[in-house]
Amino acid sequence: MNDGITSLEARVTCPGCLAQCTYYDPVGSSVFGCTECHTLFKRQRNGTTERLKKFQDVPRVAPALALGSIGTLPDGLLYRVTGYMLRKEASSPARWLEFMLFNPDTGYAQLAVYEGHWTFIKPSSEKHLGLPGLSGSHRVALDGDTEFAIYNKYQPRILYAVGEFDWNILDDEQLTVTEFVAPPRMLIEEKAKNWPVHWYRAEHIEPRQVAQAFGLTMSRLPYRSGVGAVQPPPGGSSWPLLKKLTGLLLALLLLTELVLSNQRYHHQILRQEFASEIGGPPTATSEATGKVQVSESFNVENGPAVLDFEIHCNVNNTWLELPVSLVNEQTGQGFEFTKSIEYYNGVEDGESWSEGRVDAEATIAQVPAGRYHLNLYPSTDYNHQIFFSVTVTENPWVPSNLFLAMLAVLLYPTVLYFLRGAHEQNRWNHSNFPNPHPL
Amino acid sequence: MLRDLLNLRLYLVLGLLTYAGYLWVQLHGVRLLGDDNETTENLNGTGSHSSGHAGRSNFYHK
Repeated sequence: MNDGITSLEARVTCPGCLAQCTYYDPVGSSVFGCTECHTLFKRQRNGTTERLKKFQDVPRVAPALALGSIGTLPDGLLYRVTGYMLRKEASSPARWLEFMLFNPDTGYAQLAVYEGHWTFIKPSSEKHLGLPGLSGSHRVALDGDTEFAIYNKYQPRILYAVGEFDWNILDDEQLTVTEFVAPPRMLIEEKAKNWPVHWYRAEHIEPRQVAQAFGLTMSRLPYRSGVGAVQPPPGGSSWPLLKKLTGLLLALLLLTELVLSNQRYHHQILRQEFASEIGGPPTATSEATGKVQVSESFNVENGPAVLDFEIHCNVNNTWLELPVSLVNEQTGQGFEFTKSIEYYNGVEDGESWSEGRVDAEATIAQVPAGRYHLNLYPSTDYNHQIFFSVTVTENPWVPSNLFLAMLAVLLYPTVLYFLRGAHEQNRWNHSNFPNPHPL
Repeated sequence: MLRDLLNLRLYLVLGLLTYAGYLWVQLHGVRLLGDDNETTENLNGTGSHSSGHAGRSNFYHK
């Protein structure tokens, strides 16, 4: 398979150092960068060569992809690296590398890398006109139905180049390049006075894909930092499906809650009034448990059930402590809870105040069906007697399970939502144009 | 679509497990938050009302 891509090979002599420069597109290539003396020269039609420029800004580190190396790119085609350029924006220090890729059958493509973010670029034969009325910072480009938001606009400067090129790359300094993004894709417009507009399609490519394509280790590739112009956000293209799945799971939970709450018979199974003993004086041992009071018996019909206890009392500037035991009369199984109720009020410095409550609520879960009664041990303040009522409801609506399940279902999408937001913000922090979809 | 679904398989499995768990606790009368039961006794009925509600007689208020 490699034979087809390597069979075409030729050499041209550098006019600067007379080195023999190998190249792979004898038909198309006309401009060459010498790897030995860093001279950019042009081969004329008559075979003579003309020096165009001698580069001074020679990179100290060899590029990640060596000239002549071969790899299969995301379009499934085999390409050879035939040249690369170090470019920068005229108005900013941002620098990036562009590797020229050549396939004898389909022509040229490019791999660009900026701060470790790779994009695979191919020419587009279409004119990607934007929506009417949108211009300047709001300009968009269209590729089919997809809207690409304007992201960057610059004039390129060529700092260094080696290899072969099928045009005079120095002419690119006359271009105005505009980039439009719809991650993971990009549209690039190249415009210059008296030149036709050229469009390119680009797509994000992961560093490991580049490494795999060219048989490199990841350590050979530049370190990735920040967020790339078309780097997909966390969750990538799965985000719309994730939203749908989350919606479906939430709907399933709500529907199940509705069905179960309608099926389960929730009703009051006890309501009874009680009166505490008159509170005794404080003792040194502080054992203040009151005398036991026993409720009427009642049935829990649909076990295992959740029982809701509502306690209401007439405490006023005093307190009630109420240990309660729920006892199964058939099995002896017991459940216990204790509620402290206190309510104080008064007037201080002409202002009335109050604190505490006169009621309390408790819940006991997993109560099997059977016949039960309550043992109550009320105790209160010295010389007080408290009247209180206890209401027991079987299978009240308990939303906490539903809320917890919904929380669990929403956890990952919520985290992802904020990660995506931060990712987009980082992406647009590198742009001179506003984020068209801010959070 | 299928690829996206594959990417989300872990979320889908965990989501369905959450749903199954929710269904189970609902059918078994379990309340995941706020069960006030303090008992440590068992089905044989051993153990019972644990007093130890001390301190109230020393309640302090302004």
